[in-house]
Amino acid sequence: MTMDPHNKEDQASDQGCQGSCGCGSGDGKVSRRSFLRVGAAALGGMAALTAALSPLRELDPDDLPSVEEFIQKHYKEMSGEQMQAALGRIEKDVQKRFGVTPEVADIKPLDGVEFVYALNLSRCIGCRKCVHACVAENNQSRSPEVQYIRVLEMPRGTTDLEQGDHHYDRPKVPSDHHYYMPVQCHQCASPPCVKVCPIEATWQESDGITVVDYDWCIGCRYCEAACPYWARRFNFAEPQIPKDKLNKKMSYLSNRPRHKGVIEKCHYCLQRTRQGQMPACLEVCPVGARKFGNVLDADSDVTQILKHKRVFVLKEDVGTLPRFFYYFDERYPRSQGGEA
Amino acid sequence: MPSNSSEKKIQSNVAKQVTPLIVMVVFVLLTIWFILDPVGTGVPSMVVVEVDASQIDSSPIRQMLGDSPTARIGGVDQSCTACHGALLGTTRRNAPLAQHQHVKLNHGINDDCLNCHDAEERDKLALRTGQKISFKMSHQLCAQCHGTTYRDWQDGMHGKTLGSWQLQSRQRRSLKCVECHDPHAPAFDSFEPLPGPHTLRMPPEHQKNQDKIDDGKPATASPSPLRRWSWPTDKEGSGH
Amino acid sequence: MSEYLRFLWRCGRISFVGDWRYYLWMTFLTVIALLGLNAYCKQFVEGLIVTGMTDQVSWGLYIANFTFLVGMAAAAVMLVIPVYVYRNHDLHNLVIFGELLAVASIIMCLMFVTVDLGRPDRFMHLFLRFNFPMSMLSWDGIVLNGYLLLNLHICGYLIYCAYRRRQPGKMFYIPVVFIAIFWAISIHTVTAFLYVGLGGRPFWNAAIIAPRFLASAFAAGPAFLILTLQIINKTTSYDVSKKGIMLLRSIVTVALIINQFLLLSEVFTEFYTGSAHAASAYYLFFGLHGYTGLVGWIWTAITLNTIAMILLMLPASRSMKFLNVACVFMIVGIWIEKGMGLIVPAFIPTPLGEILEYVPTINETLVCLGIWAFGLLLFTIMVRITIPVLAGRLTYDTEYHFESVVE
Repeated sequence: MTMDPHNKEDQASDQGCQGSCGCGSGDGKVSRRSFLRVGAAALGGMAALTAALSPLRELDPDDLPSVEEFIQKHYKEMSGEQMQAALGRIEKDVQKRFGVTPEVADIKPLDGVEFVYALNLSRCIGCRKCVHACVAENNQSRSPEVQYIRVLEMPRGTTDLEQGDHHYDRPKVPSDHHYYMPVQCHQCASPPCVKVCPIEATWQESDGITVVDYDWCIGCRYCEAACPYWARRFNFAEPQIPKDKLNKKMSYLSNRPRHKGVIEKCHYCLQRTRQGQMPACLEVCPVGARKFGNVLDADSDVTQILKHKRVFVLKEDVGTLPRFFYYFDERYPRSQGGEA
Repeated sequence: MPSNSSEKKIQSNVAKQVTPLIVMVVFVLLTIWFILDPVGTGVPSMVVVEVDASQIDSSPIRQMLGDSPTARIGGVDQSCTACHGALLGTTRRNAPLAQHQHVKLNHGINDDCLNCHDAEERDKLALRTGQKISFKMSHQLCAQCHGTTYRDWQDGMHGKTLGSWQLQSRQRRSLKCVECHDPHAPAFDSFEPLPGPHTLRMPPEHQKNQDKIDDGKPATASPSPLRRWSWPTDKEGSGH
Repeated sequence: MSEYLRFLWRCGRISFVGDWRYYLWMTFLTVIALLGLNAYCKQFVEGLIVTGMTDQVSWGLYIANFTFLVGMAAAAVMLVIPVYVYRNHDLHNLVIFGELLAVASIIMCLMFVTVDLGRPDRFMHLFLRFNFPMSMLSWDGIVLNGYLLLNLHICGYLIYCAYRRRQPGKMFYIPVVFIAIFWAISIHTVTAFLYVGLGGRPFWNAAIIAPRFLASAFAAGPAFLILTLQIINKTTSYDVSKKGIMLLRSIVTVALIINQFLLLSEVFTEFYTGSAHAASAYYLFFGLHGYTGLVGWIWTAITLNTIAMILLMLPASRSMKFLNVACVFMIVGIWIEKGMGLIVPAFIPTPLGEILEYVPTINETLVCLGIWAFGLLLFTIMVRITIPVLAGRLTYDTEYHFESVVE
């Protein structure tokens, strides 16, 4: 910054300043002393600039995108071959980071399928098993902590989320005076997060799942601000996952390990559900509060629920048309009497 | 200033000589600052929650008994009739239990063994009609009283379905009543919850709940549900 | 062409020439800018974890400053309209500083957006797959860069013409000036729409936000110029007419009154209705469930703005001393109101009702200061170049005499 200034000033005074100006260099010659002084200041400036950049030494070369990643196209523009190359690159990347060889695939949506989730609030006991099963299945960062599901402990008599408690910490659940409301991505049919993304790094697939291309996201977090359900998570630092906890069955748009600086979210375990399995949060639920299925199939569990139960969606007024429904049975299950 | 006084000129000369030195000193100090880096990056400490695979095991929480249940007696698996064949035990209703003391019946008004167990053939259960059914079909027994729940279960609205959401899939399996509920005490036990969230920059007092220790009383300790906000002077109800 | 290169070269050269005050000021800005660069390098290595932002409060100081600076940029129009639409002569030779401020502000805006990105290395994706017209952020990218180009063109063209001692061709810049007038409104409106369009954030989801943005921009921007012009007046021989400053004073006064009125309307709507949507407003103004992080800030802002408004309405503010106090108060007040007061509370409580307060980290603050310093550095250099050129002392046919800024 300052190197040139003084130099130039002096050169300039050499050329043009014939002592008539206010610059003070009187005789119009570059005095050696003045040159040294200016040079010293300039050197100081250079040193400071270099030192300012010094944190970049810590930069792990692996943190920077490889050439392949840099030139990789948007998910929707990749040809089959290019996708294979990308999957190969991801496999190598995972191997390098975790020392584990994964199976990475790009699992496509099934025809004639639209996924819907239903959650029975009369049954949920707030054990948070879904939260942690999800973390394990989807290779979420353990540090800093990333979780797709939040379980709210709600006082009976209200559905005002603000009265919910995210941090309940009782020895035993459920409490007699609360009900529990897990919230995760609602896979809206009219998703505000998709609308706001400036670069189409997130979109809705034909089976209703809103996905994120982690290789495309620039990390502006506009989608996170737009989501009315607080369903999106940002990788503020490089995600840390213990090597032995890594789920090796991965898919491009879902649970492959992320890098820092990108958004992620619940994707209804598409690496499982697109192959007919149930989502991990459902499988682990000890009370069967979670129901999942194809809403285009008239006999599926979720269609039956939509038909016969009193369902509601969160924040219907924001017009997001969620594919995640809550319902109650006729009453809470019989209270257990005395309680911890 | 237009009046080019010589005094000003001298001042200006001095300033011109001193300025680069000051600039240099400032930059050197700045360089030292960067090298010593006294501030650091300020990456916050993070809590790492360890959850064991066994804590998120997705297998059914109860094992269903075999079609003819057995009990291990003297190291040998014995069927019910091994004892109850020769020594039938009582067929009287509301008789106090001499054996099977570990069974605590807590099933509401359904308070008699013989409401479900067949009085004569102990390898079987019995419906209200007297029809004997095998243990495998115990859900029919439940259906006698819990009709609506049974209907919901049949339609996939109650209970747990594992394996696949595809109705034709072979992996798909709906758990039977007794794979979740203890028939003698069907209400669910309470669970120990897994750890709550420890998100970034969450102060420790958030992670512990201050005022929601449940003493069994209704939640009147927090403001009435009809009141939405407490004003800052109001110290209660900070459950967030 | 070679003449133009020579012009650029001489501009570059003159930006390093000045008296000791100029050097100290520039050194000071350079030091702050380097501190910011250093802090950003740390952020680049570690990730956004070095900021105070979290999943709960996912936008913080960066976006707050961005929002404020968009306003500063738009404020140029408050000088352009009197000059080019109403042919006001008092501001005629001052309008260029408004445009230069716009250029510097937009560059700062773009820098604030860039440091807020998690993956700045993927910036190219903006050009490869642009979600236009759906995403308001893509609109914002267009209007901001467009406004930057328009103003660069206007300033560059006028300055170069002055350098060549040519009369500027009206065809070449008057249409651009009029486009820029509408464009200035658009940058602010679009930036407001970034927030207004989010149904999940009731604190932002109010139609009044966009007009309020404009009003506060038209107050803070000219206020900043009033201060700058006085510095120019004191340190250079450039002719800054007092009448021009007084005209800016009336503009600022009206804008601030409108801003306060709109704020009042919003506060009334939030609190009188008392719907669930007012939670963030409660948090901002009174605190929520014992969390009161922003209460001090917003009341400081309201107090500063109110004092500034009263001062401006009194005849006393015809004296520069009072006017300057009012301007400083107003700039700080509006910075708080638009930054801490508008961006952060929308995230508290989260859509799921959780409360996690936001406190900027040292690193994040340094990055912000660094960008501000860099922007001021740019602005100073641009003003440094412009003044001798417009005064006719630095032209293609004159040898520039290296007068100091004080002259």
